[in-house]
Amino acid sequence: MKISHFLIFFFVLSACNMSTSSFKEGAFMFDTHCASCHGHEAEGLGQWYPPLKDTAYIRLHRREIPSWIRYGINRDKGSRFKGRFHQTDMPENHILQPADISNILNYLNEKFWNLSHFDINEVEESLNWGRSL
Amino acid sequence: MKRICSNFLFSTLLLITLNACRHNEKLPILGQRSWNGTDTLYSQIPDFTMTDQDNQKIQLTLLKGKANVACFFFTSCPTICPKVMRNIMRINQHFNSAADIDYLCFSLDFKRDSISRLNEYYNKVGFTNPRIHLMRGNDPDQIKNLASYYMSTAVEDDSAPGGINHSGWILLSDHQRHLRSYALGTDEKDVDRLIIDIEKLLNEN
Repeated sequence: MKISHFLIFFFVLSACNMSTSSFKEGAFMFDTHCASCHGHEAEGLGQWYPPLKDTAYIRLHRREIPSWIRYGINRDKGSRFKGRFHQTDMPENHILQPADISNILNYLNEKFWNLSHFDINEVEESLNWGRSL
Repeated sequence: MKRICSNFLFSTLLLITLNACRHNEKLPILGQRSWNGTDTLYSQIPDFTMTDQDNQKIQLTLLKGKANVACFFFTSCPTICPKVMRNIMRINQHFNSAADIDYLCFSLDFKRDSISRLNEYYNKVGFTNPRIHLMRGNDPDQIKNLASYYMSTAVEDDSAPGGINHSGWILLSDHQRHLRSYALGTDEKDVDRLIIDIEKLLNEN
């Protein structure tokens, strides 16, 4: 009995640890790759650097967002994500791997959006779609 | 006892006086200086004329502000510029538009930062103070050459994000075009110190 208690405790603890470490990774990647423009609290700056706190907008574009992060947004060139929804450009970020993008999204989700978990398959699906455009 | 008392009084007075001294302390004049036999000559930012986001010609010697805040940026810069701009915004919000300050933000991207793009940036970032000028040089090298007088560097570098490698200082100069203070534009605490220096400069006679 006591051993099973201990085991449960241990599992809960390690699960805890896993999730925080994923948010930590996401927080670090967000601060490194996104926060310069979007702000450390995702507050943005005017309309040029948009804030990232609008849950409704995120829900609406959930499928596109990983691709925007990876491939950027370019209003001038006839590239993938030509300003349908966008007021400004965003640089591409080929360094970011699907796991990084998923970590960043889950960190923001935890902090601001409260949507369902962004798992890595979903991110990869979006990147496949983005690549095919 | 009496002696201790008077000693204490004296030292308190001394402290107060010294403190007052420090309060009136002027900002130093930065940069190289030379001597012409009778006077010390301080280095000056050379005069220039450029175009701002409203297609106005801006000449440095015609700006009337007691304080002049300068920085180097470009609109598609993905690294330090947004932070620098956030801090320029913060300085501008700390002093209101009535303060005697001109802001010059020099664009390092001659190719992409046209007047209309600078205008769009000005509006979308949310500037409203007409004394903030986003500057476009008359030729590709004018602003890069100017940078060294502001103790800044700017070189084209294909390996750098955005294609330009440059420093993120925010610089303070006076109406005689002398550099008086500067701060790292990406560091909020350093910019807080610069704000105090701007106040000092505005209070100079």
